[in-house]
Amino acid sequence: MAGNDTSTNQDRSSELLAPLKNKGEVCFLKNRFRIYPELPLLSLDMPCAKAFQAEETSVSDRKVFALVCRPDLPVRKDHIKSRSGLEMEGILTLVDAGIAFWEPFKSKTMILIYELPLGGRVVQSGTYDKVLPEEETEKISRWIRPLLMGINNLSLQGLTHREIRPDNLFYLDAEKTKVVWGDCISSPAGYDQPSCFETIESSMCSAAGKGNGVTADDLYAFGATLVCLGLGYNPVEHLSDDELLTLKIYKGSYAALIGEERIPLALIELLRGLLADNVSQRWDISSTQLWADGRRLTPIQSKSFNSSQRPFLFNNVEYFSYRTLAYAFSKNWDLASDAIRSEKLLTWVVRGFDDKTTAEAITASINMALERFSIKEKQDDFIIARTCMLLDSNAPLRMRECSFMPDALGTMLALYAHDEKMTKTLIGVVAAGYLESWYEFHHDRISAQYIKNMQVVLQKPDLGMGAERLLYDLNDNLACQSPLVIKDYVDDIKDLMPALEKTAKTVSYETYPLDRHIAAFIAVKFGLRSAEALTLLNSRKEYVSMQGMLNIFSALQSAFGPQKLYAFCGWIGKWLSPIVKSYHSIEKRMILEKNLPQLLKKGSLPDICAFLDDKQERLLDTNYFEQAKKEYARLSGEIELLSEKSEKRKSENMILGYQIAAVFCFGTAVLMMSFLLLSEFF
Amino acid sequence: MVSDKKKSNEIFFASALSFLILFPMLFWMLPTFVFFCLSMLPTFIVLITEIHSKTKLKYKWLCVGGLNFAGALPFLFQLWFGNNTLQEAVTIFFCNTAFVMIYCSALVGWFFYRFIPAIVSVFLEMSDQRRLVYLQELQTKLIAKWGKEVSFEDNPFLIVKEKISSSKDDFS
Repeated sequence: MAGNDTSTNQDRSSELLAPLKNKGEVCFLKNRFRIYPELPLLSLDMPCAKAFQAEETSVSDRKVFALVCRPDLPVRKDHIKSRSGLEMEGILTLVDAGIAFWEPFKSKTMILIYELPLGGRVVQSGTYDKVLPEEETEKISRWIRPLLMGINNLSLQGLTHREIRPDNLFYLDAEKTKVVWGDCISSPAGYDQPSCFETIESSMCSAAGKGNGVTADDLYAFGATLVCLGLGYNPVEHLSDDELLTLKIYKGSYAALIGEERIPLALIELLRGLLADNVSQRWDISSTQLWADGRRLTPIQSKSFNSSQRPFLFNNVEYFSYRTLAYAFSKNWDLASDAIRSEKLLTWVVRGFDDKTTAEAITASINMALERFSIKEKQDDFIIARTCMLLDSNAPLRMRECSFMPDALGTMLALYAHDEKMTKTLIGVVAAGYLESWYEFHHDRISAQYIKNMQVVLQKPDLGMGAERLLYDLNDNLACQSPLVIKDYVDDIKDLMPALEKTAKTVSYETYPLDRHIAAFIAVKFGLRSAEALTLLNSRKEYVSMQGMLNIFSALQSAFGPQKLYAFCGWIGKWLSPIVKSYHSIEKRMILEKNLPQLLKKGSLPDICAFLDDKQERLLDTNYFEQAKKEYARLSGEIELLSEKSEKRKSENMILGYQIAAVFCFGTAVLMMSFLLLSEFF
Repeated sequence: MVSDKKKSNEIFFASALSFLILFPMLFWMLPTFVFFCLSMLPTFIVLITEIHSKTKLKYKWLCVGGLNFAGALPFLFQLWFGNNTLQEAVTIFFCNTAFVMIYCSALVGWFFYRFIPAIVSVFLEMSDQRRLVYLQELQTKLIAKWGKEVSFEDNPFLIVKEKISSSKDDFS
C-alpha cells in the first residue's frame, strides 16, 4: 500500500513537470498571471482551496501555480502583506496574491500565486512510508533545520503558520532535496488542522476559533509532524478528536502521541521538548536550534496536572482534575449548571485542592449571575462559562456551542456572518461580559478595556456601528459581506465604488445603496474621513441622511476613483429627491430638478455633491426662508385682524366715524368764524 | 377725612371765584348771552340728553353744537358789530329768519352725526376688504416662492410629514 502511494506521488509529481497543453479558458490576475481553470492540479489542492495551473506572463522560467480560495472564508491577509514576493527558507514562496473573477464560483475571489513545488507533496494521505531518514545528520540538515527555519522566518515577521502537518509539506525541487511548509493563507489559522497537531487548548476550540496563536503552537505542530514523519503514519489517527483530547489531558501530549511506538532515541529529547503541554516548558526556536546544533539539553519531565484524591461525580463520570471537569462541563452544558450550583463542587474544590480562592470565585460568579440576569437560562450560561474559565484559565472561551480563543473572535464572526443564531451567541459573548471575564482572569486589563469599547460599538444601532462594525474591525482581511457587492470580493475600500458601479447596472433602483455592511466596511476602512458623513447618515431627518450618504460616496470617488460612475449616479439619483426638497425656495428646487438629471449623467459624485450641498446657497435659503416665514406670520395676523366680524371692529369704525363727523362740524364752525372775522376786518 | 374736607373747600372757593368773575360779565355781555342761549338751544338739549344717556360715545352734541354754532356765528357778528343791545339780540333772533337758519344748521349737524359714521364705516370696510385681498395675494406669492412650508408654524412633524409625502419623485 505504501508502495502504491509512492508511485501515485511520482505520477502526480510528473503532472507538475509536464508542459502546459490544452490550456482552454484563461483567467487573468493583475495582468501578470494566466490561470487555467481547466487545468487543475489535484495534488496541490488545499482543504479550502483548489490548485490550478498558472504561468507568469513576463517571466517564463519561473514556474508557479494558483490556489483559488473559497470566497466565503476569510484569508490571512497579514501573510499576504508580509510575504508577497518574498522568498523565505523553509516556506513555499508566495509570489503574489490578488482578486479575480472565477467562473466556477460566479464571483470574484482571492487567488494566491505560489512558486510551484516541483517535487510535489511529501505525503498524500494518512499512510505513507517513513519519510525521515534514519541517519541523524541528514535528518537534521535536510528536514529539521530547514523546516525550523521556515517557522523562525515567519516568527521574525510576527506571523504564525498554524497549518503545520505532514500533508502540508512539499519538495521544492524536482530532485526532492528541499522541503518547505505549504500554504497557510487560504483559510483561517488552524482551520484545517487535525487535533493531533494542535495543543490541548487549541484542540478544545472549534475549527474557526483557534486564532493566530503563537510560535509555540507551530513548534508543537512541528513536533507532532515529526512524530508522523518518523513513524510513517499518524499513530492516533484511529482516535476521535474527543478521545484524543481526553487522552492528551490525562497522559500528556507526548505520551498520548507516542504511546507504545518506537521513536529513534535522538528524537525523544526533541519531541519531549516540542510536545510539552505547558507553554512555558515547551522548547522555543532557539532551544530547538541548539538541539539541531548538537547541544543536548536536559529532557523535560512533563508536569502532571494538579489532581485531587477525591473524585467529583458529574454525569456519572468521576473527575479528578479541574481541566477535565471544565471540559466535561463545556461538553454537557445543560447538566453543568445544577452541578455548579450544588454545594458539592465547592466542597470538592476546597477539600480536594485546598483551593479556597477558586471556591470563593465560583460563589462570586453565581452571585454575579443572579444580580445581572433575571432569566435562569442566562444565569446558567454565565455561571458555567465563568466556572469553566476559573477551573481551566488556559482553555478557550466556551459558551454553549461556541468555543474559541478570544483572538479568533473576528474569524468566528466572519465565518458565521450569515448564521443569525451563531452571530447572536457571539455578540452575546461580548455584550454580556463573557469575553471581559476571560481577560479579567488572565489579568489583561488593556484587552478588557478594548472589550468595553466593543460593547459600546455593539450597543449603538446606527449605520456603521453594531455587529457589522465589529466584524470588519476584527477582520482586516474580510471582504465586504453586503449582498450588493459580495460577488465582487471587496476587501479593499478602493474597490468598493467600482463594485457598486457594477451592481448598479443590474440592481433595482428601489434598493437602498448603503446597507449596514457597506456602512460598517466604510467606517472601518475609511476611518475618520467618513466620521462626519456617518453622523449625517444616521440623522433622523431624511434629507440629512441622504446628504450623508452622498458625501460618503462622493469622498470615496474623490479618493479612489473611478472618475466616472454613470450607472451608480443613476441609482443614487433615485434617492436624492429629499435633498432637493430640503431647499425651501421653489425656484431653487426647480433649478436643481432641472439640472440634476444632466449632472447625474456625467457620473461624478463630487460634482453632484457640490451642486446639491452648496453651503452658501443653503445658508441664504434658510435665512430668507426664516424671513419669509416671519413675513407670512405677520400677514396672517393682519388678515385675521381684518377678517374679524366682531362688534369691536364695527365699534372702532363707528368711533372713527363719529370723530370724523365731530371734527368736520367743529371745523366748519371754526372756518365760519375765521371767514367772518376776515370779512369784518378786511 | 381731612383731605376730603380740604378738597371740598378748594372746590367751593374755585366755584365762588368763578361766580364772582363771570356774574359781572353776564351783565356786561347780556345781549350776547341771551342770543347765544337762544341760538344754542338744540345743542343744550342734545347735551343734556346725551349726559343722561348710557352711551359712552358722546359725539352728538359736538356735531350738533359745531354746526349750530357755525349757523349762529353770522348773526352773532351782526349783533357784535351792530347795535349790541338786548332788544337788538331778540330782534335779530326772532324777526328775521335767523332762528330758522340757526336751528336748520343744528339739524344738519344732527344729520352729519347720523350719517357720517355709517359712511365712514362702509368706506373703512371696503378699504379693509381691499387690504385683505392684497395681503392674501402677498401670502400666495410667498407660498409660490417658498412652498407650503412657509405657512407652517415651527412644527417639525408637519414639515417631515409634508416632505415624506413629496419625496417619492426621482431624477434618475
